[in-house]
Amino acid sequence: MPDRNGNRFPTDLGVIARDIGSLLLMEAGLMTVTVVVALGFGEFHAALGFLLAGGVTALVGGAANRRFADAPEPKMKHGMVIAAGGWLMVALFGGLPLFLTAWTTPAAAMDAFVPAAADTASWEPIGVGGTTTLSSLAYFRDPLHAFFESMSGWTGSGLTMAVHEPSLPRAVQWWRSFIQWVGGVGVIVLTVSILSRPGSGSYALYRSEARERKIHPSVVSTVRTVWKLVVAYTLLAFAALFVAIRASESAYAESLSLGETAWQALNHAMTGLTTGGFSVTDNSIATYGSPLVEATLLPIMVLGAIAFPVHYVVLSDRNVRELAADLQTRWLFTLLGAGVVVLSVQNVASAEIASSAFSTGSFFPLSASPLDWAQLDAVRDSTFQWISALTCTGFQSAPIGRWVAGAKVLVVGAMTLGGAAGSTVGGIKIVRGYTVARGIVWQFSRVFLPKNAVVTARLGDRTLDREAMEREFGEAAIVTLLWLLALVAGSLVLVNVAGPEFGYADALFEVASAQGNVGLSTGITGPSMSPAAEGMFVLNMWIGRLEIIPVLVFVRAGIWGLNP
Amino acid sequence: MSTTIRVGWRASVGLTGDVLAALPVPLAFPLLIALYYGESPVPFLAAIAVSLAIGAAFRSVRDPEGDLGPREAFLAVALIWFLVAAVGAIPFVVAGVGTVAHPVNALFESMSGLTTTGATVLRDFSLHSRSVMMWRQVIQWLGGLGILILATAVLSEIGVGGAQLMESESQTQDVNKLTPKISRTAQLIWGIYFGLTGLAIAVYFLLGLAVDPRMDLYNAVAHAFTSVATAGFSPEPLSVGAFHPLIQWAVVPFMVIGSTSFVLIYFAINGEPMRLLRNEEFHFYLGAMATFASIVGGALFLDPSVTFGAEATIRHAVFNVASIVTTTGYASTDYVLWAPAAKHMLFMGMFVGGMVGSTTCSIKSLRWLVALKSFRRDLFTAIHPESVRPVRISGEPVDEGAIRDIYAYLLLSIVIFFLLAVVIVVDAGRANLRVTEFEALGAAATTFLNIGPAFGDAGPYGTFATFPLSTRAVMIVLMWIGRIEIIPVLVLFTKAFWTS
Repeated sequence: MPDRNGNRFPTDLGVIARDIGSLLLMEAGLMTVTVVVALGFGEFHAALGFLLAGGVTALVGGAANRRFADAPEPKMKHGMVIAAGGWLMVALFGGLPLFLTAWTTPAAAMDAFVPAAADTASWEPIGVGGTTTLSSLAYFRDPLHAFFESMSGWTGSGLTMAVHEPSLPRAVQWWRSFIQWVGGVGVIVLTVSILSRPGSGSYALYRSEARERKIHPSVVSTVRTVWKLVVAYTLLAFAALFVAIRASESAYAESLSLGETAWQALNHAMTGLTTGGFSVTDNSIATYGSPLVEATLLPIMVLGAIAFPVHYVVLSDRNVRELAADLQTRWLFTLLGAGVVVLSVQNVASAEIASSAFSTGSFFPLSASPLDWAQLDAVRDSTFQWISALTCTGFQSAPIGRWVAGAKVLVVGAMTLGGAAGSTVGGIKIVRGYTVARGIVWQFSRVFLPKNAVVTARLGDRTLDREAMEREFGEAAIVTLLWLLALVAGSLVLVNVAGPEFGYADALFEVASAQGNVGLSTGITGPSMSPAAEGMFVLNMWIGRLEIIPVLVFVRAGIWGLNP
Repeated sequence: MSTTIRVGWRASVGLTGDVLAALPVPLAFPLLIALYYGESPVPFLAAIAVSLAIGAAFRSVRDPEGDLGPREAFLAVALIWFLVAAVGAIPFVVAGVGTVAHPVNALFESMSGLTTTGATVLRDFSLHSRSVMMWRQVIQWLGGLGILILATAVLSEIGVGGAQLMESESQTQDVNKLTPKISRTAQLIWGIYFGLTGLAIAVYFLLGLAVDPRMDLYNAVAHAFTSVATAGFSPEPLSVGAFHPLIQWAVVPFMVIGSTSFVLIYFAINGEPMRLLRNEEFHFYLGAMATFASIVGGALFLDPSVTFGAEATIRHAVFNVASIVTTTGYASTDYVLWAPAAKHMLFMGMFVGGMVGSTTCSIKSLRWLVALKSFRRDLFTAIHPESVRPVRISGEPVDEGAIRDIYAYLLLSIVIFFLLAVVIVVDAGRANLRVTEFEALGAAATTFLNIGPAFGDAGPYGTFATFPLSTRAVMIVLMWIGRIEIIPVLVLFTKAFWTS
């Protein structure tokens, strides 16, 4: 066997194919779970779609896994290629059930998914096999849309092709939330284990930040611990959301049945905690129109943006002060607070301009009521959107497309930075931003010092010598630079292919949202966007999730192989 | 303050005084023009008087013992660029005509000139006397001269943002003795600069005689000054687009040479042309220009609203791309009217820049080349962590510290550029001025990277006078910071600079 493999395939390819094969087998397992969900809701077309997709995925994954069962253990050099290739393949096959369900479900059956209570006057009918349907499921008959949705799910982005989520089958709603939930755990495992192995080029910062803080040394036990935490948090979030939706006084929340409330609470708990951002309601969180639901989601999203090793330490030591001891968490809370204030000021100021058109009164902050209703709404929306952006969740409570350019640009900043490394957030991560800022100051403050001067640098609680600081800074700077270049290039492409009603700030916002795995949208993303832009977004989400370098290594390996 | 200042500021101020005391020499040129055309010489006499007075005052504080170290050089560079711009603004204010009669506008025009940017706040070119228009050209030529010294003798020695990687004609290890180095470099480099300017004057004038009577001696001198300095002011409201196509083609090589390393040109003249021709930065710089020109040309050919002939399309693509990439800022046509795709390519081109050790501005080819090569190297070491592989430019291994310097420089440039764009958007919104986000990004890039024109109102045939006064004030500061490569200004704000 080994020599036959060796003759026809490079060994490296075998190692990679075997490991990606096992990932696909796991995904087939998730699809099987979803088949049960579909049967439970009596959605037999969807059950068939998921069954077929699961079968194909299991077949491909199993074949790769079996064929290369004898391949050697993966080495350091395989780690990044497996991560990048794995994410791509899992996303590709994850689109399969969406695509197959859309094709196994006849148009008449699709219409049954449109909720009777929904106001469908403004919905656009979609042509399916000679007739039309209002169900957004029909969009997934386009394979690119299905792939996009799956990539958006697996990377925890939350940009969607399903314009009206309530008109999807329950199984599809569940699949979208489920892959975000599992993908979120996947990325935690990725950052705290594979990418942070000593000497791997250390693109994840946890190795340098504090190696002993890795939850457990081996991947398997890391996965187990992370799962326990995630499941516990999800249950908590589910309970809190359930209560919040029941207690809300908005017309929409009161119209929900007990079962529907539980369903929405479960889905939003899953996608909120893993900072994914898919929703099962038509206008994301804006649907509820409820400050209570928004307030409940804030701590859930923030939980998902704190590094999981920190959660572990806090819970196992039963000491909340450990939160403040962590550099990233400290900065996360500082940025959350500061950003809410700045964005609110910006939005209140522009609300003032908008409302002064029909109001002659002046807005002195010390008059009887400091803020009128429009301004209070601006503060509420700014708070929710800022936290949704910085934690890279992507729940939307306001029409950001209509905000002024200054506010959009602020949110772009939040989406580009993101939360703490070691959690489910996207963006360049706080620790990297911090290293870059300290590094630039450090690099320049010694320009006028003699070349042989002994200098040390402080990074958080650590004191580094010159060489270590240069290495840290260099690694953080490369990712940040590549990130910004991809952002600029992507937004320039997008502004050319998006409609004329979108300005450059919209394009920049949308690309930052995709690449930062956030999911907020100014309205460019949708089934009617140009396929070129849609394909580019898939790429943006993929490179963003893997922090660019592994994808470049993957491409390089694809062209020149893994040997020098 | 309890801690004593450890910077030999007297040496820096003294050097600034030397430069200001020498300023009457270039000021004499527009003065003579004024006398020749029978225009008022008062604006220039006033500026001469002020520069002599400040120069004498500054020279009197010099400590004869003190010599220029790196820190003193930073301080001197920041002071010189700011004060020369301030004195350069005096003729505009004293002449008191048009938009530049306002002191902020005058300083904008003068700073835009001295930093070889080329962004203008003039609205009506015909209002101004020929001598004042010539002063704009002279100050840009002067700015080009200054930056050559700064780039080849000062920044490369101290090692700012990777500038130490520049090929220089001699490697001195002793950074505490900058003065002899400056004067020696000056002699070598200035000869080339003067020669190139003379050649440009001759070429433009002769072509003018042959094909276009508007290119008279005045215009030949004016454009020679600003093309070799890759600066971009023109006394013509239509810029170089006012002249015959042949003259436009003739301007291109001078812009390109102005952005080529003068040290390598020096070698080429002295019998070592291969050092230039084999230089990887030179290849990168020419390659970037060719790539951008072909894409812009392609976009123009595909754009149905552009109705130039084939020659004109190629000429406009090549000319405007060369103008942007070399950071000159001339225009052969109003590219604001082009399709978005072509404008976006021009915008991207703003960030490239020519070679280090030239009159070019922007980020510069060497920095991009080193960054790209080190990205590639790091992809290799990501798979093979045990291997050691240095980054090489033209065969020479690059110091790892210099690579970090370049990363820091790139990131800092991008951040400052982006913040400036935000300021422009917000300030325009406050003033109820319609500036699209793309125009704001363009205006931010063009001022901070010292290129000249941007898009929208700030286009090549437009004026920066439409921006709010506060925006223009911020732009003045950023042109200054951008031209002297950021660091000399920023370090002035660190405590360690003054005390350690």
